[in-house]
Formats: sequence, C-alpha cells, structure tokens
Amino acid sequence: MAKPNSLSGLIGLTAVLGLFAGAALAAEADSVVGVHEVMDPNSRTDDLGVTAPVPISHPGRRYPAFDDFPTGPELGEPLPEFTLQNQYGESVDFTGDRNDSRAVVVFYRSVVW
Amino acid sequence: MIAATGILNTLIEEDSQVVSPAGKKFYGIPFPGVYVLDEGGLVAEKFFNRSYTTRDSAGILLNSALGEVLKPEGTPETGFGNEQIEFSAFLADPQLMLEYNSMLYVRFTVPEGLHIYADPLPDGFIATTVEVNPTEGLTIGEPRYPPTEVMAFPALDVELPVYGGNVDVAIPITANADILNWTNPDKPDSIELGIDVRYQVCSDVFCYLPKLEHLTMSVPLGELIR
Repeated sequence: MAKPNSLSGLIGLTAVLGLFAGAALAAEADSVVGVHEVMDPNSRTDDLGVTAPVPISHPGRRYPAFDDFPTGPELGEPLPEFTLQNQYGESVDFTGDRNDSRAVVVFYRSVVW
Repeated sequence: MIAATGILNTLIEEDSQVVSPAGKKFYGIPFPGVYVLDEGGLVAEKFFNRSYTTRDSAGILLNSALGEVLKPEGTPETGFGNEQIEFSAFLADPQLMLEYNSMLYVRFTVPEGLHIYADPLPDGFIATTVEVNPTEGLTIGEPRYPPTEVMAFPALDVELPVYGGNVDVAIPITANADILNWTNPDKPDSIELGIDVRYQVCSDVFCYLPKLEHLTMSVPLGELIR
C-alpha cells in the first residue's frame, strides 16, 4: 500500500488486503450454512449457475447459502487497527498514515492461490 | 486481520488438509467484501455478497467512496432530450462481467422552473418511473429513486413530491450465468438493454403531455475469467 498524500482530500488510500491464514480468534458459533449443505455437495454448478472443475463442497468454493453471514463492523463503526506491509515492503499504519482520507478496504479471494 | 474483523470463513474446517494449486490451505480466508470508510475511518458503506464469485464493480465502489455518480469515459450510454427535459442512461462501468454487480443510471436534467413528479401521487398525476426490460442473462434489481422535494400547489391545495434539476435513478444490474458461462459456446459479445422511462414535465401553472420513452443500449459483455 502506498502511503497517502497528506494533502489529499479525496481517497488517499486504498488498502487491498490479500488472504492471511494463520492463528485466528475464535469465531462465533458456526451458524452459517454453506451452499454445499443445501445442494448436492458433489455438484460442480452452484446456485448461481457458475460451473467450476471442482465440486461446491471443495473448501475453495464454500460460501453461504443465505444472506445471514458475518460481515464485520457495521455502518458507523471502525475497522480494527492494523499495520501491514505495502507492495514495497514498507510498513503502513492504516490509521496513522491514512491522514483523515477516505479509504476503500478490500478483502478479496486471491487470484493466485 | 481477517478474524479480527469478524469475517473469517467459518465454512472451512481448520484442520482441512485440502490445499490450493500453490500449496496453501484454504482455512483463514474471509467472506470477501469491501468497506468504504469516511474521513473519520468509520464504515460508510460495505459490500458483501454470499458468493465469492459475486463482486461489486469498480464503478459502484468509486461512486460510493467519492459520494457522487460518475460517468466513466467509454461507458455505454444512450439518451433523449427536448426543450423540456433531457435524460441519459449510462452504466457505472464500461462493460458487464459475470457476477459483477454494476449499476445502470438514468439521469434526468430538468430546466429551472420545471419539475417532474415522484410517487406517491394522487390519481391523475404521472410519477417518474424507470423500468429495465427483463433480459435473459441479466439480473435486474429494483430501481432506486433519490429523495424528493415537496412542492406546494396552492391552486390545487396539495403538496406533491417532485424532482428538479439533475436527478439520478439507479438500477442494479448484473450479468449472470444464463449467458455468461463456460458451457455456452454462443456467448455473445454484447447484450441489448431496453429501458422504459415514463414522466410528465410540469411548471407551477401547466403540464406537458405525459411521455413514455423507450431507450435501447448495447452493453459489452466482458470475457470470462478462469
């Protein structure tokens, strides 16, 4: 992530966070129902009609069957504080280096996984 | 970070030994989504979809982050205009891609001194409506109308919701797998969109005839990504 220009009044920082496996805090009780639990788990076509080489029960294809799943902080709440390295290996403190700029934080499924 | 944010994908077992082609375990990945933060670092809007194959387009995210509706260069558009009103229809993005949520905007420009109406209205008044014709291969959401102003009409002893100036009606639109899928050898390069716009332009003393305009727009379909 590039450090934002402190004079920018527009989006100064777009943080693109890849996937970080590792020690995780205990999640809430697992009440999320996966698509593979309501459809044929061996199906290669999901409920959106998307077909892939592996079945929907494959860990890489699991997603919620219903809209009731955790989406993190609510509107008006902050994200957790974090400091991560950008593409140049520089540490970026998301709060301290954002300089009151708006931001877009993306959690995506890696295209190289 | 993912777990601290509360979006860990709990559908994957922590002890799953299934790995990706690059040798990485899947446990630890998030329910993917996007947060738009305001200047204070607070969540102003967030975009989460059930499936990781469904994403919100760059156009939607930029509009949310900047707080305005942009018309990107090269985006498909069509329009109509006369002395009383102009309107244009355009996409938030240059093309539609499979399961990328985009937005169709219909922008009205009403000259000063004139207005168009919005629901709810008494009988006899024509509300402004935008309807995208059902189209195979597209998931079309309900139109989102902006807030209205209230205008008083003393001669009629009523107050009515109206629009004036620039007005943007937003219609969620997504290309789905009915056409865009690897099993379809006849995947088209574009899709024709039909839009019906109904309105009536009035001043504070008279009204023009109600109108129903039909617009068409060719929308490019992006390539499928493996």
